[in-house]
Amino acid sequence: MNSAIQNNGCNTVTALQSCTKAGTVCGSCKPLLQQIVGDNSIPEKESNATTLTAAGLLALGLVALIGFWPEAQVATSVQQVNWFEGIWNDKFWKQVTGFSLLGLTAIGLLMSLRKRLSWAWMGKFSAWRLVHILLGIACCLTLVLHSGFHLGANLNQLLMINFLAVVLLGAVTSNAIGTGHKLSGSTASGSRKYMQWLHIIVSWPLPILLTFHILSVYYF
Amino acid sequence: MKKWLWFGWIVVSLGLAGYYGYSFFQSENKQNLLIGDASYGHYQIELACSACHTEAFGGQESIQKACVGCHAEELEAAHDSHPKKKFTDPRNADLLAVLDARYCVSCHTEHQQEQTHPMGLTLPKDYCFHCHQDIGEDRESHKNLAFDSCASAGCHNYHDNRALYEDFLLENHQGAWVNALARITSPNAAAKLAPERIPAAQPDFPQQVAQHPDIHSEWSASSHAEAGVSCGGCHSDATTQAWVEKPGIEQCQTCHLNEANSYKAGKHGMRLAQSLSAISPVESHLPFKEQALSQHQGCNSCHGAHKTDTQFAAAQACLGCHNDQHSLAFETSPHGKLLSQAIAGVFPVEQAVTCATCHMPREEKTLMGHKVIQVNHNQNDNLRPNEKMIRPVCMQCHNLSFAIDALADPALIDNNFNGKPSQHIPSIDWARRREAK
Repeated sequence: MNSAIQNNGCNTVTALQSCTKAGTVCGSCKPLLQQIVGDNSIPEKESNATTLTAAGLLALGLVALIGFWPEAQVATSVQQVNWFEGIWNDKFWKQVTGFSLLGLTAIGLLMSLRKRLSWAWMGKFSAWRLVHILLGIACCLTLVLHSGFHLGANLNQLLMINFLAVVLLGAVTSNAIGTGHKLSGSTASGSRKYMQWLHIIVSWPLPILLTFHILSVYYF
Repeated sequence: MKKWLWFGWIVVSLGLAGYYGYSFFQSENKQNLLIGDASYGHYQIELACSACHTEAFGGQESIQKACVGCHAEELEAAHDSHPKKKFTDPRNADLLAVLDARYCVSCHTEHQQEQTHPMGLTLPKDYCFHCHQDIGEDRESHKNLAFDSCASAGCHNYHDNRALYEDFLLENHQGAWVNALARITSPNAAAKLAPERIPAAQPDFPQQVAQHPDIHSEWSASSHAEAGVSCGGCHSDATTQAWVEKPGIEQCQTCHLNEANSYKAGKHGMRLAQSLSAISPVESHLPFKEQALSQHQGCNSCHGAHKTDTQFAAAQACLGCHNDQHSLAFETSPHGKLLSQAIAGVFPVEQAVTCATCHMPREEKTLMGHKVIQVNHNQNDNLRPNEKMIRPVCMQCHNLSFAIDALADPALIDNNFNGKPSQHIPSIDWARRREAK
């Protein structure tokens, strides 16, 4: 980085980015690049910053709703079964919503491929990030249809709590990215990085819990 | 740093996969995989997963096999009003689309306690509406009746209508509410069948006999002594012939096989049928006496180890543990008073009514070529719904109308039938009116 600045004269953020490719994928190092080149201007807004913030807040609200909304009750009469019960309490629709959740999660993870493998052919990272967050919100809504606000027991409860924790930390991360331009360079970059890692680490048990959840449904 | 994180993720994943993999495929205890508490009928065996989930990935068919494996016999005996064949009839295909009644779990889903009604039902109580919504057009008397009252008001049951179907109501509409001289037949199956199963050679345990002269003398006056069952008959292992300090159901069922089988089909012994430890009152949902909470259920809980007193087993043994209103009211109830008088010698014991008279009824059977009267040790066989009790038990002493009314009155059940039913179930009247037309 220093050699690029000293030897190649890359003394602006844009120049440094084109010399070193630093901060060209997710852009989380941009505030650090600003510090290195001594640029004291206010960090640039992330693309879709307002949408990211709004989506993060919406996801936070949905997590709270799923966690604390009273469990849906079954009708006391066969003549009053409503459409919602017909979905969350029906074996066929449970599978539809369950595998939809799996699919939405899998598509959301493509963002990770775009970032880690720097596959430019996949399009802009920022677009994938937006899709990732919007899919997170879609997951919350599908989860409501899948569970009827029931948190489950044992393995299922653990999976539910884990999933909600992942979405919660994702929502906070989304807010950290969306409001990063209002913070100082190091605070913005630090909080964003910290939240991202928390979001990732908390999602560690998810694949195994999900595998055993699906396995248990068909095994028993 | 990143490598370590990947390593950490793999370790966490392997750890979790190992833990749940072990629970799935190796461990006997699968508590951590339970999706919810089992119903009142099955909670005792909820950890014997393979009792119902007989095959891995077996789906609905394998679960149905398990349901039928345990319950087919009683459904057949009950002349099940809604058997599977009724729904496999192509003419009823439209009804199947509404409710797949070919499978037990369509109405009795397990591990959904918050949705479970009495009788393990997981549908709203007005489920009859699905197929019988136009019943009012066929039967004037049924017009405007609530559909949740069909099976909850003493008129109909989904499976067992032996005491409730129209012809039976008409045949039995007469008679005084109680017969003056009801006599209940004495059981004789144990006396007739057990002697044929006594092992030819029973090991002697002279040392133990010498150590316990009091027990030996108690045994000498028992029916076991009379039948030639010595100490070694019960206190020995069938294969090794070694001394067994505390004999259990394995020893008892050598001779009392039918009693043991019916015991294991009921709430008292169903855990033993799944090779689980015996149930203790503390694990039950019913109220029990404090001192009985940690006792384990077994044959000896009701039948003394060395003194065979069936009179004690028939009432006092039950009241030693059960502490619900119905049990507590027994001694002062008309039935309980009959028992006290019989014990005092006022009249023969055959005229007494004990807990067992109703909950472990005596049944006529042909077993091993003998016509016998056998005690059904499955206390649940004629309960849930309680109308199952009407024909084999209540009608030995009461008329049908009184029995229907009494069993449909929860307050009367609570006070152990101390009084008359507070309401009349009009099913017999309706049937007679329809016949008169």
